[in-house]
Amino acid sequence: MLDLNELRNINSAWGMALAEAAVVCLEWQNHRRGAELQVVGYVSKRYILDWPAITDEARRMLRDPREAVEYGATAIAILLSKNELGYPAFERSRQGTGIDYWMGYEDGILFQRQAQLEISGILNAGGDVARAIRARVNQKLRQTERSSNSLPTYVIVVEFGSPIAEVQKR
Amino acid sequence: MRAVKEFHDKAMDLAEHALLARLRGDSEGALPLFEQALEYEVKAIESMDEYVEPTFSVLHRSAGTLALDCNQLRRAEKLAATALAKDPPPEIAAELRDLLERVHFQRHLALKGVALAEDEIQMSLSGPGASIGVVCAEEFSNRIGDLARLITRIAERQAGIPFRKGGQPPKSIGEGSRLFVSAPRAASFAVTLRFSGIIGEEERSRLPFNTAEVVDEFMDLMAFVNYTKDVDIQESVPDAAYLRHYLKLAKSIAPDGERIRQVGFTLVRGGNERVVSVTRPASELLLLSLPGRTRP
Repeated sequence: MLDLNELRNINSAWGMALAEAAVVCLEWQNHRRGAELQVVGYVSKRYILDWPAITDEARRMLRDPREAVEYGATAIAILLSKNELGYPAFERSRQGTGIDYWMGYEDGILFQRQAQLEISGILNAGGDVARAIRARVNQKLRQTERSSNSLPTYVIVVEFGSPIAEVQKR
Repeated sequence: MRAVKEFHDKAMDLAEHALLARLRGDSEGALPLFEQALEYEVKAIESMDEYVEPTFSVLHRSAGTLALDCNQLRRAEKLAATALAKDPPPEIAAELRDLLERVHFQRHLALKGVALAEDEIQMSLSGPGASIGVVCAEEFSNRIGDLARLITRIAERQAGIPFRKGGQPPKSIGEGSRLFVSAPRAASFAVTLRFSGIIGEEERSRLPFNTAEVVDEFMDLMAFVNYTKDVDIQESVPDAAYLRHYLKLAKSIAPDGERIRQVGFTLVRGGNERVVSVTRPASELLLLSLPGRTRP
């Protein structure tokens, strides 16, 4: 079970805004509670999705599909990485147009022994979902330079039409 | 290091509240929250008692981005440059350079004494494909062509002409919305674009559209494309055929994210500069599927 309600425990106001964005995207794609999320790539698993009821005010706030997809994908990616990637805590930093997430440990120095999380969302990839997701994963992987002392990076791309999420590690 | 974490967490809580305010369309409410977040992030940096990477560079990147949110360009520049002067991990160094590029681009969007008439805008391009006064010809000419087509379409819509599926625009529209380009200026790569530039005032007053309103609608469209919440393009352009065509052309003007990373526009209204900086790459705009407010 992947329960979007759990985001409330990570950060109440912002966490719930992310969860609501995911719900809006899933509803746009006619999914109902209990829909199955397929996870592929570095992690291979199937999750039953559950989510909170959302208000019309939240739907109005998230009427721009681009923002809804960006934040909705973040909601799913945070829960997946918490469940599957073995890091108990998240650190945040401000970057670009949003928040950049790092996975690590509660007691460490900020951003030490951590991995970066790159997230991207697609509302509906249409015909060739696997190809569309692969292209987006590759684009995300290209965005960060590689070197011998590169930080570990996980890329998670969420597609809401299927719904499906691909996880890759660099 | 405990104080560093406490200050940083406080900064991030405030930044999230600021983003939430922005999501609700409350840009004015977001600004003081970003300002408070910036102060806490700077305190976190000042509380570091030893130089540790990537902590040092990530905190500077975060504070620099918050400074940009607050339009404190000089502060953002200093924060990014301070971290780059040390030894950040390569990927954080690349992100710091991107931040610095965004700061410089915001500077280049300012007109710096260039006078613009009401039917003129300044267009600036930045990224590896553009340098001081020089640009990859293809990056420039393709955008100029699509921009000219977009302006013509806006003029047609404002003149009350139904959406044209093909062919040429009516003569009065084509001549009145013709695009002229100035010599480039030393910014990222900046030119002045003038619409209806060679016709006289009398002829202009007889045009079936108002040139300033056409340019304003163009700016609204580009602001919308870059996720600006306080612009509702669907409300001002209810015709679905026009809107779809607008967005298609706007996407081709937007940055590709590789050779051109930012495309900016500046105009003057009532003595004040209006700046729209498009930083979202065109590939992300594929998500656009308008019109349709509730079911994209």
